[in-house]
Amino acid sequence: MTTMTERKLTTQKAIAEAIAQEMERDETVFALGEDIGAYGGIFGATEGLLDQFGPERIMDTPISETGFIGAAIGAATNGLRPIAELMFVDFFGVCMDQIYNNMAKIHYFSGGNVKVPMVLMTAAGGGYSDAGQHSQTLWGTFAHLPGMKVVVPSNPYDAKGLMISAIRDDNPVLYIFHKGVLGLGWMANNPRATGHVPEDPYTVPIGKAAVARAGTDVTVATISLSVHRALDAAEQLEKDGISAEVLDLRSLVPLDRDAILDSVRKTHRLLVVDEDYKSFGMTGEVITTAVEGAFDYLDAPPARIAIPDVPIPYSRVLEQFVLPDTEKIVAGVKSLLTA
Amino acid sequence: MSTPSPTQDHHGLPIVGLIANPVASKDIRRLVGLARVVDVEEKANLIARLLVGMTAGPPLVVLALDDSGGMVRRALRLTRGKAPSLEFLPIEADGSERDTHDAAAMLRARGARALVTVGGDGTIRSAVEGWPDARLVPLAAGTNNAVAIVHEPTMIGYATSLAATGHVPGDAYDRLTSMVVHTDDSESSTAVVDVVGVRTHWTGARALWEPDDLVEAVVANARPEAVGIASIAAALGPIPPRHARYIRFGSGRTVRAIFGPGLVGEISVAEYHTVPEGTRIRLASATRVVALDGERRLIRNDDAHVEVTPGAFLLSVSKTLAARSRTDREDIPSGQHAGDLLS
Amino acid sequence: MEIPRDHLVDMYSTMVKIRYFEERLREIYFADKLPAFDIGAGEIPGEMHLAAGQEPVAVGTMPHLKPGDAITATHRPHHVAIAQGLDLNRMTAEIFGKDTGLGHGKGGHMHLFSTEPNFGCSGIIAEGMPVAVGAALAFKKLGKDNVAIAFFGEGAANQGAFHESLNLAALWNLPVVFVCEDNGYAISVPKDASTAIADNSDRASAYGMPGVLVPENDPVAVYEVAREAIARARAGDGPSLIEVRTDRLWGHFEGDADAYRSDEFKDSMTSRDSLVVYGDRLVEEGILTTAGREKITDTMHGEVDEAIDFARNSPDPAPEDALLHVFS
Repeated sequence: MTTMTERKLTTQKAIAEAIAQEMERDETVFALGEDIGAYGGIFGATEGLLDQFGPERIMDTPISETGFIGAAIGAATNGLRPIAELMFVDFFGVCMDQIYNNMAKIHYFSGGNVKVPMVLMTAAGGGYSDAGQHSQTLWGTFAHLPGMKVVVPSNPYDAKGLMISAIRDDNPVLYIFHKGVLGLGWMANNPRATGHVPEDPYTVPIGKAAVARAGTDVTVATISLSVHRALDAAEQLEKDGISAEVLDLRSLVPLDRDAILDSVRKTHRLLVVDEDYKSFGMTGEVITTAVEGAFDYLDAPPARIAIPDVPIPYSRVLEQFVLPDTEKIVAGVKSLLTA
Repeated sequence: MSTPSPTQDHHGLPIVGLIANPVASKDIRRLVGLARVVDVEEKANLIARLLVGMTAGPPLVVLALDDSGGMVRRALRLTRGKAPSLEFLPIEADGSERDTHDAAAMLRARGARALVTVGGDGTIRSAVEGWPDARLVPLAAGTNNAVAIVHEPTMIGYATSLAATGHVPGDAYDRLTSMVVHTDDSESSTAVVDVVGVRTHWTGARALWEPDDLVEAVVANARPEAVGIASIAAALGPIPPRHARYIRFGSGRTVRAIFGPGLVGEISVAEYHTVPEGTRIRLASATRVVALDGERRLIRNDDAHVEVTPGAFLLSVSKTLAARSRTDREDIPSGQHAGDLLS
Repeated sequence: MEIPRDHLVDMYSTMVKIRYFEERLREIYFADKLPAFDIGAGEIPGEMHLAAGQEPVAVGTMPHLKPGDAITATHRPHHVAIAQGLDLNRMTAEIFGKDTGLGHGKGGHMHLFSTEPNFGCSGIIAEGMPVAVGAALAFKKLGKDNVAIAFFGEGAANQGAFHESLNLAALWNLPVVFVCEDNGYAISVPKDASTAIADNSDRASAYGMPGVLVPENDPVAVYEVAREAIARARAGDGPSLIEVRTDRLWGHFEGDADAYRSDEFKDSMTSRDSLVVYGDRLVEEGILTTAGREKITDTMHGEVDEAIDFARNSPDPAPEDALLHVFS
């Protein structure tokens, strides 16, 4: 007999619900971007919102990223709380100045006098042969640059809570959602893309990691779709008597370094998994955090799995070779345990 | 009337002057009315059509102002060689009306047979100041265009080439009336359409568009279909040739006035009378700034007055082109030349 | 329409203030960098872009503003900031990198931000244009009758953000006025070497808005056009573009040898210096007396000197304050 029915939503619907609830609560919140209106966003982040809120608050824009992201900044500094959607994170090249040089720096340059309460949300990630300009994650690039928070939810519950936190945050927040965690009907089926999402609004704190699965033998620190892969790997490893702790970082800026250190101090072994490019990115940052703060606790040199510094190839067999996956994580953990 | 002697012709060919104004029709009337956009590209296109049209008549050479907008150069590129020989005057243009004035004076000295201007009434005005009795072919590219010719520039070019080479009937030119404004600074300025006394103190953004500011006007050459102050003068009745109309604004008769493109209103006329050439009119003391052909130009001083005089000559394109059918066609060799620059 | 005497005189006083401010900064900027120019040395380190000569564009626009109207400006911002009425002490202190500055020393001369009046500027060409569009969007959505004004140079008109901003502003019918300060040079590159067309005001019609050229560096001409453009925007009739031919009297940055402009050209700019021409006109028209003009000069110079003293006497920020204000 069920005591409480779980309310199951896909990550995509959870995001749209978060935006809708915040727009109901606060009339200064509005969204703008390409195809977010009647189409509901290419990845459904604004599904149903045009009907609910109308074109004044769900604004389709021309293909003018510099223009509309810059306009979001101007709106944010003049009393509104915009959510701007950059359709694919890969497109940041055409508008990066507005993002990292303007949005991220106004608060600092003004000595804290001018706030920029905006959310820049964007779709990321590969695995479905969308090739090198539509498959990247790139969060390492943004996390590297000061002045913007970077959050990357892996599951429906966090997706809603982090979006609400992002909208309520008075700082610019880059909200990156991996297409593979959304639970879209036109992508490969992913059971972990659906989960319990409370109907009432709630927040998930920005800057706090979550232990997605507790374990004792190794810490697998990761983010986004790779959390799903790591959880699948942990289930497999359990059959081999290995207890893997999966740490879902959830935010890259601020990075929950304490959570990383707590986990490493417990397990003594660290494997970092990242769907971004390997060199000069997230894996290096997490490993350095562990080395700096928990060197004496490490029983083995930390290891990492990431895209091997090549553009993401198109052909399925090539793309699968470069992306992190469950098998690579299982192998990586086992290798750490014999190191 | 200047009759150029054959020794002043250039390489034995008759000279046609060309002055194009890059600044015409970009002013505040685009904001307060519906003044059209005749941008530099469009003007270059008009000039190109004019030059090509000139090759339809007998050979001539064009002496042009190398305008600060580069329009004539652009036009030459557009003609791809189908243009008369063209040389630039030795004037370094800076985009001010001084360019037009100086170019016109130079063309007069060089014995040009006709002077083509591309711009609005203000452009014509500056040209006439430099060459008071010029043979004018003013191609309309300004905001109001009360005097300028609004026809297909190719036809205007053709008519110009006929006129400059003597293939015109005697009445091909209509004589305009000029209004010369004297302020006691001793320099005089000329207007070809209207002199308007304005009550405000500033030349500012130049263009004239606020009826409340108008004190008085002297208007000549006003066709009933012309827009601007000329429309007010013409609404009061026909103005005979060789005459101008003086108007004092103030409470009295209300007249429909079309001040500019898309600017419909009305104005009150306190009194008006028609004066012949030779008349001098003192400006009212309420006039602080004098606008010439729609642009505030001069700060008046105590002895400011307007002299109505015989003015420049305006080519009638239709009479010129009508006359060509009466000419033996074998007498007119076709005038196609490579558009090479001789200077 | 007659222009109120106050506006005419205020425009002049502000021009005097701006020019003296730029002159004093120039003097201080160089004083302790010589003999061998070290750009990072001295009381005012870094780059310095001064606006001497461009005063008319700023002062002609400002009389039509109301509180809350938003301005975005460029790397050459002082004339606009001063004309809009930023706190001169805090602005100067920011330029000197002091803790009392608008940004506690974090922004410097190219990143001056103020909430009242509503002002921001940027060191990236055209970066402020979309932001002005966004401010206008906010005003429209919030039902305010404020307007936004974006200042930019003729070089910026070839940057993508210019084109995107104009299109968005016209598409959404926003209360924003784009003001192009055409001083003829983008650093050393003259306009005819950078721009395929002759006048940026002609580009406006390609984006569905009116564009007006002000061919003279005259505060009254700018005043008249800005009045119409701003009134139009406030009335909900949409954006417009104003292009003003102005003069950058000095080099692009301080330290620029400015060898790419001829002495003749520079002399011609000096001979038409609008600060002199406009001041003379005011006296000729009886709006100012010679004594009145001198008084303005004294007063304005005094304000600037005071602001500089304030800056010099202000403390530097604590070094570790560099870590503050990333996030709120």
